[in-house]
This record gives sequence, structure tokens and C-alpha cells, in this order.
Amino acid sequence: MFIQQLIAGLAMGSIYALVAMGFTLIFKSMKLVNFAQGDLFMMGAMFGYTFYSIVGLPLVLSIIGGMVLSFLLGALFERLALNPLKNAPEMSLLLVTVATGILLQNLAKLIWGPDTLPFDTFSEVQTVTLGGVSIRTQDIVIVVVTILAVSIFHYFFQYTQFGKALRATSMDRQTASAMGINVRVMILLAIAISSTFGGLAGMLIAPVYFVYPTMGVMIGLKAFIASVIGGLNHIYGALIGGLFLGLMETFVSGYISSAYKDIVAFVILIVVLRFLPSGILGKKAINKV
Amino acid sequence: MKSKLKFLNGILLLSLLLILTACSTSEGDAASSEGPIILGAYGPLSGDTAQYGESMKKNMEMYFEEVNSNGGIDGRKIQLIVEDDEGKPDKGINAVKKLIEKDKAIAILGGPLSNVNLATMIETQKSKIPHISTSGGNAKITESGNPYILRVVTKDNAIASAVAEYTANEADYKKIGILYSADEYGKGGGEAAEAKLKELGIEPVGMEVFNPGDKDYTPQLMKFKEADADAIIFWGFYVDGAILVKQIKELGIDAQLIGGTGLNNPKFTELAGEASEGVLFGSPFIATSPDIQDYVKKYEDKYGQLPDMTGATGYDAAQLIVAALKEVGTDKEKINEWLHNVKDFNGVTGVLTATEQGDLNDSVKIIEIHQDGSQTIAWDPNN
Repeated sequence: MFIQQLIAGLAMGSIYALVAMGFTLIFKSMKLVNFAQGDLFMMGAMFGYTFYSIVGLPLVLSIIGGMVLSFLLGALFERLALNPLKNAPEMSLLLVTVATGILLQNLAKLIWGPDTLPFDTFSEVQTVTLGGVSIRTQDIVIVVVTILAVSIFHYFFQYTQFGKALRATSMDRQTASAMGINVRVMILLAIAISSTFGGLAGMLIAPVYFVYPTMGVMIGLKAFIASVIGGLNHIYGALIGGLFLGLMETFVSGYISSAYKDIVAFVILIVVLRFLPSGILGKKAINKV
Repeated sequence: MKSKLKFLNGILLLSLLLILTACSTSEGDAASSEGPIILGAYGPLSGDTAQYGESMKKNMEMYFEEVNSNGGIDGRKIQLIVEDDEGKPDKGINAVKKLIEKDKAIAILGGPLSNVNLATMIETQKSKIPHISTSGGNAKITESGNPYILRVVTKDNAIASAVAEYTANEADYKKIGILYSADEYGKGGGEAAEAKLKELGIEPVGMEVFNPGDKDYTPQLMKFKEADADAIIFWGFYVDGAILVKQIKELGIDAQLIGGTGLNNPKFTELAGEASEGVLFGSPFIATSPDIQDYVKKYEDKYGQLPDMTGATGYDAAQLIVAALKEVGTDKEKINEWLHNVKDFNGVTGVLTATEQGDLNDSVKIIEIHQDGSQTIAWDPNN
């Protein structure tokens, strides 16, 4: 039973982590909490569903297609909603992300309808049995793909020219700009990548969750909490926060009661904000005057 | 300062717009004896349970269109206004208030969910408006003593008792676990099933709860597995049920799933896929009943799918209100009185006779889902 709970917790944690990385990436690059992140996650699942179940493309192509569309959607979001407000107060930007979330939910309702849509499991084999313990293959897929995606991102972020420019932007926009980095392009890129992470998570969880227009609401909230737990100012804090939250939720519902599952996240959030306001990995924020 | 003013202006403009739109749509007064007769209905048209509201709406629209094309009621057309309750009690109250106060509906039909009905029926009682609940099965709806409520679907505790009786006696399972959603619908059914099992001398091997919308049932299922359960009685909605039945198969648990009316929806089979084969559920309605084939055919021709229980109870609610309007006209008190005295009314969900409390139906069948998605009656306690 412990092993099964562990794997289920890691899988859920990976999903939180992917969505939460979107939060931290955007927060790092423009000090903005993007409340449309959960709905970008939902849109990714919808794109994947369209390619896979309606168009009938092979699975891998559908997922790549879904990620490309998520990337473009993120870029569009930056161009149409955030860029025009680049000189507006932070509150306006925050509200625009909330509005975009609502817009996306209703758009999805119009395009795909309000119903819950089925999404086939990635593998015909639904469970593998290891030493008498049966494990869902989808859980394994989720964990492996997450590791892969984060590794690719890490390589890109640390070792490529673009990645370095992105890091510079996230450290200090003004200095980066003075060094000849096109900051707006970097921000566009950060948001598009965030959206891609969200979309990928949406497609990974779709066979377990099914697909519906409001599927991103709770996930968005939980992932936001995960990113705060890990430290909003630290990109990989989201990973730690996400995995921690996923495991805690599963263990609490397994060993205490499933009725408390949703409370876990909020209790942890309160504890973290009280004792580690900058998150597990976060350093104390210094407000420069 | 300037931006503050702008903000205030914006709010003013917005509220003005809201008022204007509110005024422009509130036309027509059902209390008058001319113009269309306005009926209000509500149900979830979005969210996890949207399918229930959609099929209720489709059924009602189909029936009222037919009535209107046959000349309406004494020359007056019926106008149905359907509001979305999103499956939430607070939204349901707003929807019903809007239907009563703004649209001046003379009767309220729906909705499909118990938790919403329990909230909305207080509003209809306050306004003294006849209210025909469709598929909300919680016993409290009619047992609360509200004189304006009626209900088409068989009470959940009656269905749950039949399900428990079938599981323990007819199908002869001995180690039965019960899993129910932590809301009014789930609790009503889960507890009634438990009571019936105890009455039959069987102690359930586990009573487990889940939150509607939960996606992972590993913890609960592992407890059933450790208790060696051979059957699981499930009281919850179709999306949750579909995820559950898939996970039962995935975790290699060899137990029969037996559910309630919540699983009586074609969407359940679609979402669960192969895993739905062999699943049983208790419900008053099955589309293959020989006496309702006219209705089934009409529905299939119009919408290209078979009607389900939630929709069929909506169809019966529509039939009842039209019969009442034809008999006693548009007086709300008279309609309510007529509805509470209905006897042997031929509905598509059974022969309807009103009890003092307002329950109209008492039929139950245990229905089995086959590999191709078709359904047959596995057990009918009345035969």
C-alpha cells in the first residue's frame, strides 16, 4: 500500500510541479503571479484531446502539437493581454491574468462544450505489477515525462544563449536591458514556456482526470500554493513544492482520511507563510528602495 | 487621484449597464391571461455534472415544442426559461429567484441534483410556487414537509435499499463495501444502503467517503482490497463513477461495482470505456422498456442518442405540468393541489401517483451495462 501511495503522490506532485514552474518562471521574469496558469493547463489538455481523439493523430505527435499550440497561446497571451499593459500598475496586470483565465474557461466551453471528455490512457497496458504491487502505468508516464521535460528545460536555461539571456532578465530587467538583451522578447519567451509546461501537465493528467473546461481551477490554485511553498522566487522551488504537496495529499488521504485531502494544501500554505515566508528554497526578499 | 476617479466611473458605467440589461429582458407577465405561459427550469449546464442539466433541458424543450406546435394550452404557448445552477446550491438559489421574480415563472421544474434542490425548494416554498423536482433523490427533499415540492424520481433510500437487497440476496455477495460522495446525494444513498444491509444481517466491510470531483481513489480502494471486498456499492455521480471503475480495474481489484441513479447516464459508459462492462446500477428508468418506445424514438430522432434517467424525469415533469395547466389553468395554488393528487399518470419513468409528501414514483430496477454499452434489466423487484 505504501508503494502505491508513494507513486500516486509522486505523479500528482509532478503535475503540480510542472504547473507551478510556470508560476515561478513568470514571477521571476516580471514579478507577476499569473492566475491564468491553471486555465493554460486546461487549454493544453483540450489541444491534446483535439489532436488525439478528434483528429486521430498518434499520441506523441498529439502531445507535441498540444505543446506547440500551448506555446503559441502563451505568446498570444503576452502580446494581446500583458504587453499592452507593460506600463500599467501591477494590479492591472494581475487582474488581466484573472480575466484571461475566465475568458479561456468560457472559450473552452464554447469550443468543446461543458461536458467532461474522455481521454484514452497513453498505454494499452494500464497497470504493471511489481512484486505484488500493481502500479498505474499513467503514473509512471507522468513522472518520467516530467523528469525529461524539466531536464530539457534545465539544459536550455543553464547552457544556451537564450537561456542565459532569460536568466539575466529574471535577475535584473534593467541591467539585462542595458546589456543589449531584448527584455520584452525574453518575457514573451518566459510566458510561452510557462504555458507550454502547463499544457504538457494538462495532457499528462488528462487520462486520469478526463478533460473539461473547469479542470484547471483547483490545479491552478494548488500549483500556486506549491510554488509559494517552494519559494516563488526560485524556479526549482516549484519542483520541491509540487512534489511535497502531491505526496502530503496522498499520504493524508491514505492514512488519515480522504475527506481531509483538499485541506492539506491550505494548512501547509499557512504554516509555510508563517514560518518560511519566502518558501523552502527562498532567500529573504530584499526590497531595494 | 485621477485613476481613482476613472475606476469609480468604470464601476458606475458597469452597474448602469447591468441595470439596463436587466430591464430589457424582463418582459411578459405570466400572471396575465395573455401571451405565453412562462415556466422556469434549472439545472447544471456547466461543470462536472453538466450532462444532467443538458439532458433535462433537451427533454423539456422537446416536449414543450410538441405541445406548442399542437396549439399550446388553450391557444397560449409555453415559454420555458432554463437557468444554469452549475451544480451549486448558491447558484441554484439565484437561478430560482431570477426565474420567480424577474421572469415571473408560474412553476419551477428541476433540477437534477439533490444538494441544489434542498436549497432551492425553500425559495419556491416562500413564493408559494409549485416545484417539480426531477432527479434529485435525497429523501429529505420530500420528507421536509414542504407543501409545494413534488419529485419525479424514486427516492434514493428506496433505490439504495433495492440495490443493497439485490447485492446481498439476489447476487449473493457477502463482503460488501460502500463508497459514497460527501454530499447530500451520496450520504442519503450510502447510509440507506448500509441500513438495508444491516437489516439483512450483513455488516459492510467498509464505509468510505470521497469528495465529489476527486480523481484518485487509491486510498479507499486499497482499504476495500485489504478487506477482501467482493462487491462495492457506489453512490456518486457519473464522472466520479467512471474514474472509480477505471481505477478498480487498474488496481487489480476483483469486485463488482453496483451504483445508483448517478450512473444512469450514457456519458458514464463513454468515459469509463471497457471498464463499464458488467457494472450494475439501480434506477427507475431504462430506455429499452417496451411501453415507452414512442418517446425513446422521438428523442433519438431529434438528438441522435438514447434518453437517460435525468432527462426522462425532466420529460415527466414537463408532461405533468402541461397536464395540470390543461386541467386547472394558471392558478399556482390549483396547479399545486392538482399535482399533489395525481393518480396513475403514465410517465416514461413509471406510473406516477403522488403521495402526501409529494413523491410521485416508487419503481426501481437493477440494470446491467454490457460490453457494447447496451443495458438490460438484471432484476426487477416488482416482478
